[in-house]
Amino acid sequence: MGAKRRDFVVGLDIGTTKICAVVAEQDSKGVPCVIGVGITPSYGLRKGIVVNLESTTDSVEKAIELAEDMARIEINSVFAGIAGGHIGSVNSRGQIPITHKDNEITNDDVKRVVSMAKAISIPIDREVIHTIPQEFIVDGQGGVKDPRGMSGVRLEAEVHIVTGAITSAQNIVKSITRAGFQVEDIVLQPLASSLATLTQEEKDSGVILVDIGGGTTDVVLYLDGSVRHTYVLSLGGDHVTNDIAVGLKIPIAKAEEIKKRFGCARVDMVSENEEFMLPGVIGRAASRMQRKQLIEIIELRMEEIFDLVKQDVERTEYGELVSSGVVLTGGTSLLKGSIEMAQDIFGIPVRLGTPRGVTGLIEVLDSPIYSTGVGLAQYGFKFRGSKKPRPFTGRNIFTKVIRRMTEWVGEYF
Amino acid sequence: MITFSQKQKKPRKIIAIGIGGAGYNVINDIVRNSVPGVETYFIDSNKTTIKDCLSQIKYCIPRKLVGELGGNAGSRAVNSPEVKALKENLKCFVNSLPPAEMVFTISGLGGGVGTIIMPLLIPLLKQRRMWVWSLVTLPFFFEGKTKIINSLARLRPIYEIANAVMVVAHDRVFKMVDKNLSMKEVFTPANNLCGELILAVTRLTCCEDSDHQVKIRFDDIKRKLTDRRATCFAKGGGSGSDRIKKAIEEALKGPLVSVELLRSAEGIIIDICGGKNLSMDEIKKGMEFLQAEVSDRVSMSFGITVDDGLKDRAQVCLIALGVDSDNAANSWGLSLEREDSRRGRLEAAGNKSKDGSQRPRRYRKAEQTMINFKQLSKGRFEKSKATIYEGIDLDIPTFLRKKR
Repeated sequence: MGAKRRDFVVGLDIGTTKICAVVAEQDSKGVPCVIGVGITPSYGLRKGIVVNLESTTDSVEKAIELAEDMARIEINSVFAGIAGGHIGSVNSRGQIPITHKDNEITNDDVKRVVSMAKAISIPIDREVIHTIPQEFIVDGQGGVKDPRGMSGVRLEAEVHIVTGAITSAQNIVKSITRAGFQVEDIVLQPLASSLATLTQEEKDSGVILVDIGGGTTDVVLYLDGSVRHTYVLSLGGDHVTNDIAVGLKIPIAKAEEIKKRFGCARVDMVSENEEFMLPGVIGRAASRMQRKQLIEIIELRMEEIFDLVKQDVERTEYGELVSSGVVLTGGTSLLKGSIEMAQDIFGIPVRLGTPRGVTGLIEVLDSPIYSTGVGLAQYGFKFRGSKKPRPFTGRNIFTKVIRRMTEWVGEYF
Repeated sequence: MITFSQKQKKPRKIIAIGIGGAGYNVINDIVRNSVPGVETYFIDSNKTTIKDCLSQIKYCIPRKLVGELGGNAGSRAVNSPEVKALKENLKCFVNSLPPAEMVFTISGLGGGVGTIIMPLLIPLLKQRRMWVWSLVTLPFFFEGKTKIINSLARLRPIYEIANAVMVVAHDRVFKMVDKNLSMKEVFTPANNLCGELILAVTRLTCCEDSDHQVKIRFDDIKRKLTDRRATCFAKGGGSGSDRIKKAIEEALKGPLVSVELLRSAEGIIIDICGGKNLSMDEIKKGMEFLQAEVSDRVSMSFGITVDDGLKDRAQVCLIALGVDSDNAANSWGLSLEREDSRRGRLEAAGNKSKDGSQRPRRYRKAEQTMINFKQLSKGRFEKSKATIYEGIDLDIPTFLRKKR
């Protein structure tokens, strides 16, 4: 082609219902500009975890090819998302004395205090995925975002540590490398979604991001501008579909179709005697059915998902401090009435989160289903800004997973 | 050298399912006497009996489901929501059973749990290609005419669905036993009869030990039963010379058989069990005696077991297959006249219930309960790692877990 090599990043959202590749390049103002999107249905995952490597590899390949065609570029490496019930998170705190002559805190001090904070014991089959500094405390004075250059004798750090099962991360990487691409980094999906959907003001005043996907519901709680809590619940839109399939005795594919066409999260939002056609399956004719009956099934499940999220948030000490409300995103948030239901259950304002802070194909991307994909691309830009890409290869997956621990530190300055 | 792999022949499995109070007694009796080769199951809605039952596997039906049916499940419309819910529940149970050649279902017909479940359970078992032999007990006469008449009405559909039916009329059994029997042992003779039948059938068809000289093929039993599905059973013992003859004589005096009944049978199966010194001549004499008592038309087949423990005694079990069910009813002391009056009354009752059924019924959702060996449907999540939250499996549809 002869065109000059453009600097772009690719976010690859490997979800339970769809796999989505988002290609973005930096425009003249330095804002990420989406130039290509590829989306394919996903068959190889259950609840966010790879269960069929081969079909996941196929879908990844197809999604990236589609994105390549749209963006007219050749993709080599991607930023991949990770989720699933194996994800766990914990807040931790570390403390070091500053012993330099002038008591000035240096870059090395910051690294040391963060590594002190993340020195928690975790099971052998788990690994740290993210270590995110929340705030630094210099001589007892909290709320410091960047302590470098400050003077003090004691430096403390509060960090948020996200851990996951090594094998689950490995399988995500494997399915991408087998498709012929390199993995630049793996990122917790809700963190990526939060980059794409939340504003800085919301993060400062406190916000709960609830990303209801197909297989999992991911939660991130921000307060004072930093991540305070993350949670992955292994329930999602697939469970709604499955409930419909079990309740109405229809195949999964039909249940999915009905959910999208007639589904609603609240019974009081449909009129009493509304009916819809239950499509016939082999050997059974189509029949009319009360829409209320369908919605009762959906309502109970959605209520349960929100209840569990609420319970989880309430267990943390931050639940009551959130003042910007809840941001709902992910494919299942498109279900009619889910915003209203969330509002009822959480009792605070709820809005729908769609990708923002990007230019380019914004009409295409103006949907909550692209939050994670766009967020991953945004993460890529932030990350690339400070360091050269160091691609994952099949061989050093482990070292990479360990190495990436400090990388959020760099990003925060 | 060529070696042939010896295929281990799977022993034919026989399952005994006890339902309700009567089933409880019989199943406990079977377990206590440890009948080999029989797997026992027990179904009830009463948690106390479930707890006390000695059966290997027990299944608790939600009390709500049976409570409202009031013993009329068989006669009620098949597609009524209550019956449907119960059926779904039972399907769960039946699907969890291992494949078996023959199933004995044991229950009373007095209007309790067994009365409701038996007619629903049998078709489900037959769907799984099991051969169903129903053992039912009838209430005592002193419990009132109505109860007897109702239980007879419930017996009729069972004749039509089960492959074979044996009725144990308590009154008949009690005529034969000591009048001063203590309350604790009141049901023992009837239980023994049921247990003995199952034992005899097991011994005849699927006994693996080498002491069994003549076996009866399972298909023989099936073939001998055509339209007339009633069966009856008797056992007797004898010792000394002519012990087989003596045993047969005693068996013919048994509470559930009569010579007339045997004459109407399609076939008679005799299980002869004796000590080592059992001679062919004895058996021949005994069989000739029986042949003379019943008509020549009745075909007989016999199995012989040698049991050292019996020494000079012998035991005989008679199983009459394909007995005329009306004839059998007569022999329980119920006149046809009563049948007629029952019919009339039933029709009247039928009309009444028809009027009653026009009342609007509230539809009740099928309800399932957690049981230890079969989980609720999880649909597509059946095989993925369960999402357990505070002990609740969240993959099970919420609407099944939570009641509105």
